[in-house]
Amino acid sequence: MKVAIAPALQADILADALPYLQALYGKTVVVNLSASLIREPSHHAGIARDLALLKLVGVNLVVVHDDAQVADYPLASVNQSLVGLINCSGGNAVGLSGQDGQMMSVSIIDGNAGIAHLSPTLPALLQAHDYIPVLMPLSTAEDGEVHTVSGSILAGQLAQSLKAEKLIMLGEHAAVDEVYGLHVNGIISAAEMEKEMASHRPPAELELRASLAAAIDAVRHGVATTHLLDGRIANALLLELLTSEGIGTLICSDQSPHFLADSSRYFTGGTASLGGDMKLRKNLVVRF
Amino acid sequence: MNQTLIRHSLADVLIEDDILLDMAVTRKNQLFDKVASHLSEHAALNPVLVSRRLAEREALGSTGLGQGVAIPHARIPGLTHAIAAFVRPKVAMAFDAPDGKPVYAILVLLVPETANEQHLQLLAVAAQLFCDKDFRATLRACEDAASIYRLLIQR
Repeated sequence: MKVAIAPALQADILADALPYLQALYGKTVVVNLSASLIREPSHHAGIARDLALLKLVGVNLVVVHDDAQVADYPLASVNQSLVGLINCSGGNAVGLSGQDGQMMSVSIIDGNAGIAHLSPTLPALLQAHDYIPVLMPLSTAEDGEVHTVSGSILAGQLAQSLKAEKLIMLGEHAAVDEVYGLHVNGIISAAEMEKEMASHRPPAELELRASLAAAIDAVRHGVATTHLLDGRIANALLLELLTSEGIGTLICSDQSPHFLADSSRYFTGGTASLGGDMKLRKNLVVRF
Repeated sequence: MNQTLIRHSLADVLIEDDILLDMAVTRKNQLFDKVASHLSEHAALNPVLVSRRLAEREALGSTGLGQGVAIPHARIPGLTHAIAAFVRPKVAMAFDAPDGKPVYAILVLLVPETANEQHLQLLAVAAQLFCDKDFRATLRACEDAASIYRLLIQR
């Protein structure tokens, strides 16, 4: 049973969201719904409501969903269902494929479909008129056949070309911190994440690994932050974007401010540094 | 000659009068000016210099840690021992933090110009504290300066 919240507390909670809304107002956020999450329709209505809410408070959203990869839930049905759910919550969603407006073309290399060309013009046009583009990852290849591509790669590339503030990967997996045993307080740079991925065996969730690769690529090409969230958590998007703590793992670019490194340089000129455990380490200085 | 005193914990550098709640600031420079003015009253410092030094450190990279907290700091000529102030802005403010989120809790730390590894360690103590999720939850729940002060110095 839901706990009843007193109206005064409810008003306080809404008022507390103001600075987070200000920070996101007018910004573009690309949201990817992974295949595993698409296969669990029970989560879709909640996600659609959160998307509609974010749009209504001024966040420019673009949604990219994966193929469920099951025969009884074809890609077009997934797209129509998501569009319907967002519209039922008060958002103006528009379903698209990569074919529409020649947004995307596909190339086949070694039997795998990849993105050959991607134009942000159509989603940007829809955004400008307050629609939420909901994009399914398929388009036509040179052979005339229609192929699907990875939703996470498409979302990452679209976020780059739209110069999005954030890319959000909603999956159905444990927190990245837990999977990799990280002690990063929820925030990690692309280089640090890459190092962790190289030094660990690939996690069981290959989907998560693909999302991480797209996330790292996005922050290295202009997207400010990428967030990997467990989409099974109720109101995951609101918790991540409108509260100070967030619930996922945030990957920032290697050029983002790094408190420990910057402060170490400021205080010791590089002769010592603070590690992730906040312990002081003497740096080896070689003089010639 | 000034002798630099090394202080290792927040209890050594913070007094309750320097817990500043509901400060009406929306920009970093405003924050630095107000904190510099406040701390200079009882530490015989030049507030313009303090504000400038904080801004210079900030220019190296935001001192926002993410998750709503920041620890701006600076080395100050003439200061003999580290001092600090805690600020809770009236409305969480933009701080260019790595997560892009506004900050609601700010610990300003001033240390002597000759600041070295020991002072870096003091900063590490503060950063460790602010990186603790349970600590942040308790801090958010504190309603007055006295409870925030007690929380900060007991760690």
